[in-house]
Amino acid sequence: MNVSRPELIHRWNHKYSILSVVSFPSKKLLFAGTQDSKILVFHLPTYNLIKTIQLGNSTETNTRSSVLCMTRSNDERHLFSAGADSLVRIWSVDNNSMKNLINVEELATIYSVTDIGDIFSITYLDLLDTIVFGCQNASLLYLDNIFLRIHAMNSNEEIDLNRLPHRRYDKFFDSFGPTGSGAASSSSLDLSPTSQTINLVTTNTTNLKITNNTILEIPSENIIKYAHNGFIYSICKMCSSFNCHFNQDYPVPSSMESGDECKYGYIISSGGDGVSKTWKFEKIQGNGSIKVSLIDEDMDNEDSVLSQTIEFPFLYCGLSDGIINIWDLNTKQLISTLNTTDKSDIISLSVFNDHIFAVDKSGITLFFENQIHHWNPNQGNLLTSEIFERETKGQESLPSLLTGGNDGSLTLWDISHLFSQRITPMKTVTSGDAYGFTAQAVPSRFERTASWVTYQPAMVNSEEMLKTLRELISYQTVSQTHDTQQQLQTRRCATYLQQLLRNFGAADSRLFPVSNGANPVVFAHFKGKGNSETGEKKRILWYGHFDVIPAGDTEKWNTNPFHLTCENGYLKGRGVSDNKGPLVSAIHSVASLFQEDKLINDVVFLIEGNEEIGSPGFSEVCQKYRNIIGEKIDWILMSNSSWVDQEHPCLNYGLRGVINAQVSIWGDEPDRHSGVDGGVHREPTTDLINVISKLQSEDGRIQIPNFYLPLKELSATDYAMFQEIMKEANIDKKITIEELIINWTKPSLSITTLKMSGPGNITVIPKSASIGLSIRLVPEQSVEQVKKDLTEYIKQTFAKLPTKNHIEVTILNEAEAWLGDPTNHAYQILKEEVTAAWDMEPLFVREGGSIPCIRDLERIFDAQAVQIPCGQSTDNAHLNNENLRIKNWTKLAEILTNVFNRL
Amino acid sequence: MCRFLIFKGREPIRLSHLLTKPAHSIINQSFDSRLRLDRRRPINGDGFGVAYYPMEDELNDDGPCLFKAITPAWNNQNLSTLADKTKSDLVFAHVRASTYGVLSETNCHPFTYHSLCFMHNGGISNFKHIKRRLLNHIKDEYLNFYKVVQILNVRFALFLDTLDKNGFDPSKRDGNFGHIALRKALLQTIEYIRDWTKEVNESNGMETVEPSLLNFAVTDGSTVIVSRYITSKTDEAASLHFSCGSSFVETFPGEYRMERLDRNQDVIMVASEPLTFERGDWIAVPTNSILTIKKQTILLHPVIDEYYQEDPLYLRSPTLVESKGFMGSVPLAKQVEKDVPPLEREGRMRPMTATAHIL
Repeated sequence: MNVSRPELIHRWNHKYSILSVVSFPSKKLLFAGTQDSKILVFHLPTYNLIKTIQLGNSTETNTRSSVLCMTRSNDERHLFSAGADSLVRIWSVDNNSMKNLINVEELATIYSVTDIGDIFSITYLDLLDTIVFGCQNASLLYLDNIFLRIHAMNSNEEIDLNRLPHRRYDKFFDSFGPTGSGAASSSSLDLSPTSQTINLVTTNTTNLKITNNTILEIPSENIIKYAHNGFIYSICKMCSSFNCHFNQDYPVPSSMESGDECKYGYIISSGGDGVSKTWKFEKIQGNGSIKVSLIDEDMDNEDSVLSQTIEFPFLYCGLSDGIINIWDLNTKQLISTLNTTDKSDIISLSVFNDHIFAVDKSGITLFFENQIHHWNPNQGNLLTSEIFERETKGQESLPSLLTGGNDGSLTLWDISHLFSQRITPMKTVTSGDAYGFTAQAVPSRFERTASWVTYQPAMVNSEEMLKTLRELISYQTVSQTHDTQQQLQTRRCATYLQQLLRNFGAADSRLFPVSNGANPVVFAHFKGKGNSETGEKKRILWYGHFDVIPAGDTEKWNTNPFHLTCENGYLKGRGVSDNKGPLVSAIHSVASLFQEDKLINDVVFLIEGNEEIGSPGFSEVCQKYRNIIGEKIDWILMSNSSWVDQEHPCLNYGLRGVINAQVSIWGDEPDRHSGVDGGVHREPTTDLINVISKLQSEDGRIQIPNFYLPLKELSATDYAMFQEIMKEANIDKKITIEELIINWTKPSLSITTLKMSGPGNITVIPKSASIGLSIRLVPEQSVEQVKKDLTEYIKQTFAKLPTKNHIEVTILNEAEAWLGDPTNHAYQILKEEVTAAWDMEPLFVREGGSIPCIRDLERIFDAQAVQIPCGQSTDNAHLNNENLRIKNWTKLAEILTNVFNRL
Repeated sequence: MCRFLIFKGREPIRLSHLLTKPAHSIINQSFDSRLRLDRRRPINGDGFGVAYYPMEDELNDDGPCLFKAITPAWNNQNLSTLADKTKSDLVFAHVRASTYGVLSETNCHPFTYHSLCFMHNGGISNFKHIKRRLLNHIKDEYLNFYKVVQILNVRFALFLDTLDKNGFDPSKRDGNFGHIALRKALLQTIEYIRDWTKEVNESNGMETVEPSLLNFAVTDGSTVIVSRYITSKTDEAASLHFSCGSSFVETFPGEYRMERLDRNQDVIMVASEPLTFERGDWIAVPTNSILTIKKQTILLHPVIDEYYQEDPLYLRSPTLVESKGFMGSVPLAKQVEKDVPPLEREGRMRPMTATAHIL
């Protein structure tokens, strides 16, 4: 991406600091709240300041009720402002029929009789007609049915007296009651304070008539005391359409399922105590009041959170000292931490399409794809920012950044060029502090979310399946890197899958967090209706993974690896064969059965995101959530390998195990020069080669003790099967049956990597050297035993060397070998269905590769695994130009449609 | 009628901006308080004390600098010179009216013990009845730190003892106990006093005793913990306010205000009585809660026990504290706005505190 400095579109200047901004994109207006109690209104098409609203009494020049926060309603008809005067003000924003005439009127003022201090954060939940705000005294206040309340007051025009402030004032004094020291005791003083206040108020009544302002008091039950233990700096609301798709921690009320409106909303608040808390606001049927519950307080940032924003499924927290934490809202895991170079407080944070704009006093820092760009807009200290889409004539809307500074400047930047090269549609937008744009305001933006909201048909045909696969491929779900961008995309992909499965009709669909912050496991359960006669049903587990190997050198690809390309009957892209393609086949076959009400057996999906790095934490997740996944699983199905040739469908019943290890040797000396120091010391590289050379004899026999001991001779049946394969399959003609047997049934040791320290110059003696080993194991061998023997053997060999260097053997990952029973019921059914689909009998094959979790799954769920390969031998899994024949892909879905019901 | 003031800033401040110059500084409060409702004890003339942590690392080891005097604060030439020529980023200041104890410099707040500094405001009810119990509870080393055991410093001794029993060494020269440990120790100190007085009162058949007022402040040089607490569910605790912002600026001679531009809490002040006349700059610490200054961030924790009030709108009675002179009045700013409802912060809600100035 070619990032250049955004283009300055316009700059406005005011005498005092700009503390808060909010945009009204449809109305083409900008509002800016100032330190001197003003709200400035700008008209975007003309860049004119069209209105200056003075809060309170305009004759008071040094009023210091800074406007600290603002928000708006989705329909852009109302503006809400709050600040240092402890008051929330509601404004109506109307376009007059005469163009360019904007009417902004104060409708109501909300106050609390408690000493709440400054109001730092505010949000408006449209569906609940509820305003929520966070205060300096650590309390969270809300008022529901605001417009109902305002209208109720306005319609009682004749009972004027009751809405006069002094009436309310008296009422307020009555609440002094319980202590007995209210009005009565104070009036016993020489100069009655009550009369003072009444005087004061009487002078006010005239003012009141002019402004026609409604005054609303926050009732006691709407104050959440100590919602935090610090000032509440930020409230983010989750977009209403997302609310409906939360996983089990956010249960969907029954009203939702019957298609009613969402009558609830979620917010995330945070502040000085560093904890981001999730709250649920729910409308109680009947009396229309709001119930608030604290859903979650697990996201602890351990430092003051000054700003927040949500781009679902991520929560971004801006902390002091230039730190930005990124949380996965589904699993409540901290997935990444970013640092600005300036290390000053993140005052404001906006995220647009994965581009993170962090504002601190030194300027704006943009994070995207592990690049950091900083620029200083020359506005003194920046105090506020927001991203919105500016609609221009005849053009699509342009993403724009708005920032306000303490020198009173407000600047508008065009940032659209940052996104112009993006192919994927824009996902979501949240900005400023408090809210997300919604479908109403900018319809085009919610393409994907909208499709989630409505019912999604699942069909076993390539058109429907392609839609899903295209989306899946677009996520760069590389599990091997710690690249923030790819981590975010992997999380996003997990959320996409979870929501897709739910929308396809899964009774339960959720993400299981994996310890150590690894990618979550997607779980979904489709309920079968049972056998029509006996009512019985089996429970089948489909295992798959959504992570992929890095694309490597994209120059060597003929197509964009993360953009699904369909060419000449083939799907192309990273993950089409391993494992996103087969996964989509399985999901669509189950979902279509379910939607046609034909699914007999229960099917559960377990889709992990760490298969390519050895499935860390996966078996713990299986064990931990066994009660949800299923105490009794009948069959484990997967499709995570390919045919042995291009023509013959295969069924796979055996995989080799693997131990990947690294042997490192290092010395105490630094990298040295061979001319100066050569021959003086025992060199680490020499030691390493010496040790490694002892692993295999000259004829290639592996010298690790006991390595071949447990091995058994190949049975006659197996040999016959292999002969059959040699005869039938169109394998490379040069391969002999012996080679095939070795590849599938014999262990092996390969030296895969060789690394040395230093510049790589031919005259430099490296300080350290390491070698990677990949040992493939067969079912007879025990992983633990081989690991032990290997480590001991290497250390013993090293000990014999006259050297002062040091050695370390690290096991990087491991997998047990697997041997299924090709004669069991499931394989028989698979064989029949594959034969029917392809019009030829499948070959029963084994494979040299490994799937780390297959044996764990069998053990944990006490069920046999069966594996049905999907693509051809030319799929190029893990290599450049990964591909999958569309025919294989759709046939797999057809086969599975029958298999899931027949098992 | 003691008054105390705490300043903590990202940048140091000249002490005179806190102590002598502001029209409503605590030094000025000490004679200005004749104007108040407190007719019983009009002058805070029984000495004062200032503890400030030096800025240089070399000097900052093992606690703050302490300056105390028994002469009336407004008359002390040394103080005004010192305040004008000294800067610090953490200041504890106290003016005292001798409600208990004799008039001596050792009885003046703040009290220090190595890195720790402590002061308080209020009184323990029926202290004579719990004195023996309290003394028995506390380790000798903390009792003997001051030569004469007085009701004043015994609270500090109890705090030190509690910190010690929680596994922290109060004599640590560099402080840094962390906000959690300090808050816990202060809360426990309050709980001991609360429980012992309650037991004693019950066993003596005294049902209606005056509540204890326990506003404590402690710092280890980096974290500040302040309590506002009363052993009553209906009475208000001795007053305590805080203010924070970007900088504390002098707008006219003697008139200051807190400038608040953004979320920065670069300047934090906690005081029995506000120092400025800018009403909106100050907010009351809720009764029965603990305020923490962690780095430059204010945290608020409720003390939830039998004296906690669930209802946020419940108004505690100020009669007790006012009668004892522990209720600081809030300086009244000019009317900010007229067409808004009554609001405590604007002085229209609590006429009894505002009256002082209307008079």
